[in-house]
Amino acid sequence: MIITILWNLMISAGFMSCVVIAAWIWFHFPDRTADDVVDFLLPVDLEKAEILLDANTETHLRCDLSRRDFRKTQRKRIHLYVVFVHRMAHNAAVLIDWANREAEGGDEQAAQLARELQQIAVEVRLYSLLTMIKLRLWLLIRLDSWQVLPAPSLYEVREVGGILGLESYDRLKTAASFLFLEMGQRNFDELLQNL
Amino acid sequence: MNLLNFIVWWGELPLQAILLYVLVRKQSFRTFPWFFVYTLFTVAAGISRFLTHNYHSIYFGVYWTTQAVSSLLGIAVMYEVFRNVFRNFSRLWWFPLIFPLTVLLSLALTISRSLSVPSGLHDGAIAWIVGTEMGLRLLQVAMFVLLVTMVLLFGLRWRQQAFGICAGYGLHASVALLTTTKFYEFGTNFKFLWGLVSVITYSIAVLIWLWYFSVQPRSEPPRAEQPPLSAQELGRYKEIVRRVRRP
Repeated sequence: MIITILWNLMISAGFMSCVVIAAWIWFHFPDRTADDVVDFLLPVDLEKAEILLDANTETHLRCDLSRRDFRKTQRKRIHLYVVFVHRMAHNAAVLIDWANREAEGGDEQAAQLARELQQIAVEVRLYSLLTMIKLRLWLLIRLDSWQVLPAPSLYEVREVGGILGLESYDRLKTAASFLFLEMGQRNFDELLQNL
Repeated sequence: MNLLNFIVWWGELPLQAILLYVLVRKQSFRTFPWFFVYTLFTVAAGISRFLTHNYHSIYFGVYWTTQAVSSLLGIAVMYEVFRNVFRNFSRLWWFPLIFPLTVLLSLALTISRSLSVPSGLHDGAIAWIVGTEMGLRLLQVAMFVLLVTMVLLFGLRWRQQAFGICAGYGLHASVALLTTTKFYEFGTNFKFLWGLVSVITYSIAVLIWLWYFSVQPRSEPPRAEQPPLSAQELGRYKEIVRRVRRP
């Protein structure tokens, strides 16, 4: 019974994938050039993100606040980091899209920078998606409210799936900047501001 | 066999031959060697099937042998696409495990299903061959679903040739899995529809590949019509970038 269900699910997944691919082609953003990057990015405050993931800050909060208040604050901090991670995932997707295009171009120097950007952006996106799953699961089961268990620590999500999130995002900014310069773009400051 | 039937059953052969010509002309065998081998083999298989289609016993042997080899080559093609598309994941230690895990899970599911669902085919050898083909098709579908999921999560340019191979193969593999499953369950009652649907979807897949490989690679659009950055500007920007980087 279970085997038949799994088998039929696989067949359905195959057909669904065909539909999804067709829809993806139809709705996907057309050729993303360097001009279509800056306006689509969502700014991420890396300093604030760094504070959220800082073990010392968390320890101080744990000591200074009552147990109940700490759990409440921690829940708010998780929500805030979800917002940051969501933006990181979005920006990585935009940059992957752009890098995919530039990697196919004729300019060898730009193509090389684009491939480097692709690789880092994929890492950031993977980190963001895995972290989002983990954090949303924490929020879903309200792990912060279970008195018998210790409140979840944001420091734990500094590294997920073997990827250091903020360090990778920092490298992403640098890689995007170099490619942006290589493409002769002038709104460089805007890129750094929005990334 | 009337003309329409003849075109439906054998129409894929000239399409495959044109695809082979395009692959050679564009030197795509350098980028996708397994896809080239697969196309070369399917053209050779198609010719041998055509030459033997009036001799039932020889055709039977030729058909199933070439079918088995092309299914195996199909998996190699999917693996090639997988590696080509996701080369950016090479830094992650767990990523290379995905392909062998998919193979093992597909194999386990096929064996479990063959043991639990009785075959409608009376000939034991044919039931075994069709069962094997079903397993290969399942693996192809699993690969396709995996690729589509990864593409949605991590992006891919839909004009990339790897995407075209994946789309064509996925469509054919999904339909082939459904029809082969029904053929395995209902036996020869389903034979005509099984063959016809497979041939038609395969021809559509070849048309998709032809389109992807025959369109000219995009020429580099002109850069922004502004004068290049001055050395002073470049120096300032590079200094900002250096400051972005952490020690």
